[in-house]
Amino acid sequence: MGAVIQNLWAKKGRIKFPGGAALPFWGFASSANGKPQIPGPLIKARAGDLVTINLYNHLKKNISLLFPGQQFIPRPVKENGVFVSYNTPAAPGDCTSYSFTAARPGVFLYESGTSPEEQVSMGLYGALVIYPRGYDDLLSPDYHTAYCGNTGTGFDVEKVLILGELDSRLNMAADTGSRFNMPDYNPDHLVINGRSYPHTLLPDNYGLLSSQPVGSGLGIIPGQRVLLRIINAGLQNHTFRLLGITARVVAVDGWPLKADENSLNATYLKNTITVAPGESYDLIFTVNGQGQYFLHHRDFNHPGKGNRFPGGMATRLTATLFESAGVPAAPLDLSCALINRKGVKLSWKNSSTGEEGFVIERKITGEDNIELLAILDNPGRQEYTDSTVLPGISYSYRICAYNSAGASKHSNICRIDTNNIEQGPEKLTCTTMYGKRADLAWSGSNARGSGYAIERRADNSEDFQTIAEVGPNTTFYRDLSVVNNTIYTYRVKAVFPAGAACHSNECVTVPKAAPLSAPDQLRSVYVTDKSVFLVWDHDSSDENKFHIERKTGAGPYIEIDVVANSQTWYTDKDVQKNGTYYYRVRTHSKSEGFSDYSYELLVNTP
Amino acid sequence: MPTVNLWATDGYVGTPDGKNVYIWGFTDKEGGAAQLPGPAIIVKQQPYLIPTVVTVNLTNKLAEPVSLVFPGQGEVRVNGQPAQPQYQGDKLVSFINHALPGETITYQVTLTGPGTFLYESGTYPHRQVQMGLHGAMIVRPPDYLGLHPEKQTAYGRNTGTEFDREYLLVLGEIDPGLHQSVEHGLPYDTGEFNPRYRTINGKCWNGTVSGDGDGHLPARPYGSMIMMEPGEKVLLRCAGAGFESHPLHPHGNHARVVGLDGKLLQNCGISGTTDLSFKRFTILTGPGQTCDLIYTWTGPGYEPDTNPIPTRLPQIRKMALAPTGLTMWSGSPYLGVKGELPGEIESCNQIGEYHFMLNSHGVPGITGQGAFPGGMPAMIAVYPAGTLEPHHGMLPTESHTP
Amino acid sequence: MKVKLRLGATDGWVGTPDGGSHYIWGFVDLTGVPENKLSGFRGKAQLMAPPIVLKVEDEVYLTLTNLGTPDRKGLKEPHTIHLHGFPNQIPVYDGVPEASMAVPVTRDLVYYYKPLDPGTYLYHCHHKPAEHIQMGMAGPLIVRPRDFDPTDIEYKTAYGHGTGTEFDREYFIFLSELDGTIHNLVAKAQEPDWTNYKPTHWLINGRSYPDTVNTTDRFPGQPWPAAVGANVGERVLLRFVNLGFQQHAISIPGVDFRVVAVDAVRLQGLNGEDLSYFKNIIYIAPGQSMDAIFTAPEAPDLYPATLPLFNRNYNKNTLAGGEMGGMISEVRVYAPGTLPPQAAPSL
Repeated sequence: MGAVIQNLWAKKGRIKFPGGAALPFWGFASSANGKPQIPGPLIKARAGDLVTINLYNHLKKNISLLFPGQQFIPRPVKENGVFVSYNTPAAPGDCTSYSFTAARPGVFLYESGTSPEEQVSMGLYGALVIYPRGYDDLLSPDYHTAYCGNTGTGFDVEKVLILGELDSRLNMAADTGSRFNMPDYNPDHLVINGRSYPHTLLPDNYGLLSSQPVGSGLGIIPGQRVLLRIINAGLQNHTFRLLGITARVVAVDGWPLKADENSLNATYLKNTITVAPGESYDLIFTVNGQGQYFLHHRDFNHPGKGNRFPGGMATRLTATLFESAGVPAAPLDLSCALINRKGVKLSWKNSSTGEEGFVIERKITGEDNIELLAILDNPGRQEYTDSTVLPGISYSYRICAYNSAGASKHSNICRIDTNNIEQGPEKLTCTTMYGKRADLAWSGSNARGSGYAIERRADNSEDFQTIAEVGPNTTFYRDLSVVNNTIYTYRVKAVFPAGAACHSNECVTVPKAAPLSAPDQLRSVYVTDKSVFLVWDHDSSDENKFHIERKTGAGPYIEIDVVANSQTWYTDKDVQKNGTYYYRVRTHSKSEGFSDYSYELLVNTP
Repeated sequence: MPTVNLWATDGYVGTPDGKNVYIWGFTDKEGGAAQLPGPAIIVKQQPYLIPTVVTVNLTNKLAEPVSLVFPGQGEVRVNGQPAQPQYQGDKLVSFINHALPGETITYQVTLTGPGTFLYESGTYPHRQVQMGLHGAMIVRPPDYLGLHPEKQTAYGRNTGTEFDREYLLVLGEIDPGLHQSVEHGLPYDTGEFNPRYRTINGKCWNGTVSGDGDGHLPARPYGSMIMMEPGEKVLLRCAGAGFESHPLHPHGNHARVVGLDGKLLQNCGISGTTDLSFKRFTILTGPGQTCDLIYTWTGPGYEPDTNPIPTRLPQIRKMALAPTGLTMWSGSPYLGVKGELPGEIESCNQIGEYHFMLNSHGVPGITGQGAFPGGMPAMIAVYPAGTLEPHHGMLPTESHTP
Repeated sequence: MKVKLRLGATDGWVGTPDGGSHYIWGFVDLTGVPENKLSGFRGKAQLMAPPIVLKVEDEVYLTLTNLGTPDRKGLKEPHTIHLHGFPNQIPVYDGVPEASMAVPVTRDLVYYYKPLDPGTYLYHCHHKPAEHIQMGMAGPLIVRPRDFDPTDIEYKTAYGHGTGTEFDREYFIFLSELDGTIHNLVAKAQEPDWTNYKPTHWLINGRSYPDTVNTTDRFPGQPWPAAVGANVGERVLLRFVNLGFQQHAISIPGVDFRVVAVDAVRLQGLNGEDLSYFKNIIYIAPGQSMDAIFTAPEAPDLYPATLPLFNRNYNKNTLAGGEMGGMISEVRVYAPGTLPPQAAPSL
């Protein structure tokens, strides 16, 4: 039996998300000088090993660790009879040590056991993978299995996907020592191995994501047995889909569904699984064809920060017939050019064939902070346009190619200054909406400016007036301050901190009053051989009337009556036994004329 | 091999509180309005070893790209090439090849075997799936033979999945706020997802208790009134098309779960067949997942003369009846017997059939726009033996044969 | 055996450890109470509803008496009992008012059933079920196997002799949520919007931690603590029931659960295959029940060792967003022979 010793330093750090958002977090580092990371270092052991974790607390709060799924009896701490920690904590600046025997193979969490609703959310979690004893012994039946021989868990490629969530508001509150109201918990960043898509595609140890070192892109050869180990470190259920893949569930919570050669085979096939907090699922599958497969969150109401698609909890598997040639070669001859109203166009020569995509990095010349500007998650690209530049600034760009084996060296650096760029909104359109409003939409991001000013001119005036100012990421405005049947001309102006400004094109619209809606849900509530009682719904509050029309058999529709608006029902007493009648209803107002007809309703009298 | 023509288009559905919600959806009728859920694609698998390939022609009548993914199926080809994710600039747009506005795309889908599956949009799915671009796909086993006692099965002869009737239940939610945003071109924020309606086959109560092809609900063609006779095996094909998990509780009996995600819960090995099916009184169908259940109700066999119920019922007039103004009850405790209900009570009961609720136990799952009933309850109606046509409730063997 | 039970439906008040008090509707046990004493139980609803313990082949006559809601005098809410999970029930005993009838204030209805299958079930009112379940009208129900004998270790089982479900102690872990805003609106006779449901308290057996582990009798409306106790090596049966509206994920670090039954059905395949399985997280949906057995683990030097039991949805382990609370309890493991044999579940 061996021994595994893992030192963990709990520290504060910052993590990054696509689009430039960054958040404070708490995580574990594997050395005293290392950066904290989310998730914490992956701990590997073999069944029977004695695992010792030394926890050094460099945070300002007590923290502790729990090892769910292990035969480890925690020692809770109470104050006034109430838990304050589920296990012996390390005080700030102190160290504590936990040890246990890794009893069985599987994938497990280790996580904070002190105020876990806050500390696990902040990132104090990681995974522990326990392999069978003979896992790396070529002669053992356990060789390259997840759960020993005879459990049907042999594999060629293994990947651990740790699902998690972050609620930015909780992170901000915890970072400043204030308390977040947990019933409001509604995470806005969903992550796999601490990263959101498309950062998930970047290789391990990508330089600009130093506290999120683990990627989750997968490169495989068709026919390989892939062991996907999904474990949910979040506080919510997550439903994960393997699109185009049907996998066999071979273990849940580290318990194999076929325990040994004599036991029942309770494994089963799934393509989409819901993973509860703390649960783990081991899936095995192969893919036969070459190509890209997305592994993604099926809870589509959480696509990513800002609810943009794609984003969040998604990654990609790429199957190619030949093993990746390794890390791609660096792109060559990067050049930059200014394009008015578009931004900076980058062009390069691609010297690699095995890349999955490219990463664009940018900084303001002379400053230190390098920004991960964009991930082009498709191979073969030779150009990119950065539309987020400000006028009057000198930028430096460099790029690299990546695949699951790693990122290439950087290209040359190109520099450009934007003194002469014209920038601003374009393609402004006005949509005529019914009911005292006008909707404007335009394109062009002004992420570097302070926003847009909306300007309007009514038909009887000569000058544009600013009617509103909106934020830099907005490309939509609804003007509710209009008068119907007036001709309005709009334009949008980009506003930059330095005062430079450009106008969009102009667009014209004439708001109109809403047309009458048709009566809805026409139905017969009561039918006898002498009468038909009709009911419909209508939400109009105007002084309208309803016109009831009827046809008999194949004949034409004939208006049979008109009733007041407040009356959304009608009794047709002029019917006969065994009759077939069709009804429809429309509404009418003096100012707007007739509405559309309701649905046609068929009534057979007894 | 079957060919299915689908159009992605828009339309409206009504809600129990009298509103009209704008939807996007599929229709299999050229020029038709969007259906919620999309038309069920029902195909029969070819005999053993012969691949079954379904051709789906999707014509996009919406203003943004639309695509179809077929989770749980085998290879999908577009123009003879394996389907691939689609990117625009540096952004993923679709998980699979899409049709641009006005275009038609042809998918050739190799099936993996019998079962109940979903199909749904793989383009901006956070918006398009919620807007209604989803439907169910049913694959019948190669030896399927309707009304044959051993061959009318979900997963093939000798798989323990024989049934007498079958119903498709596509579960979902509607957040009218998001639909309104799409209708008026306003910013769409799924972080504010707050579904006001939970639906079965696109309908809320009372729509859920009407049969197929109800004239009042033209945009939603599939009924979820489950009709059966005592002792019959009813196959309920549940498909979670929404974003939430729905815990469905059938009153009257447990249901046996025989398949998940369109895969039979059975393993075959050298030592024989292992049955992994399980009985539940509450069945949780997760988002994007499917569940095949077999439900039976036999009953204790009460008869007014020979086997009366063991308690005396109170005077019905003094009890609380028809809480929503209408009752499904006959007024009698006995199957097939119409009792006396007070005259002011409107009963939908036809011939003394029993009604059992099939409701979601998740929160507002059984409310619509915040009030009960509404949302998800459906009814299982048990009719006296010999009163239902044998084909009642049966979906066609194949839906889109040439 | 003929079993006559009687439950009253009425209102009441319960407390949470943050000092909140919440208006509830619920059931109270009236079995054996003389008619002229019934009114003394008005306003004494209990959260969770009283556990019902039956045996296979019992002929159960369960009377529901609607005692009214003294703190909402104008309200004339009818109630029912739905015996959730009983196979082959008929509508008049199934408690769905849309398909049979409900019991108005001052009236009775007798529900009959003869259970044939052992297991952990649940019951609740089915009149406007979202509201009535949330207001508290929900409880657990167990059916013991026909051969159940608490004095014989081979016959003290959840599902019968030889089913691998022997246990030494048993406890209810009855999960639910409470939305204080909705309870407050109902108390003030205002109409809540259920799609805005947002719980403030998460409960085990009707209580929020630390009340879950408080064994004093100062909770008249919430008489069921949720602390689990066992001597080392004993087999503990946890009967999980979820009658909230959310899924929950319960964990006890240091303990491996063997799930022996779900929804009152022992886990076996069509051909008798043993499909029981081990788990570390009990993931349970609303309207479900699960029976899980664990062996009280050894913890030398620590007896009585305290193992936390909590919801791995950690956001549900707070009191209205503040202190530690909610769905938390404790498992106390004692040295051999410390605890006397258990007399009744959930003590």
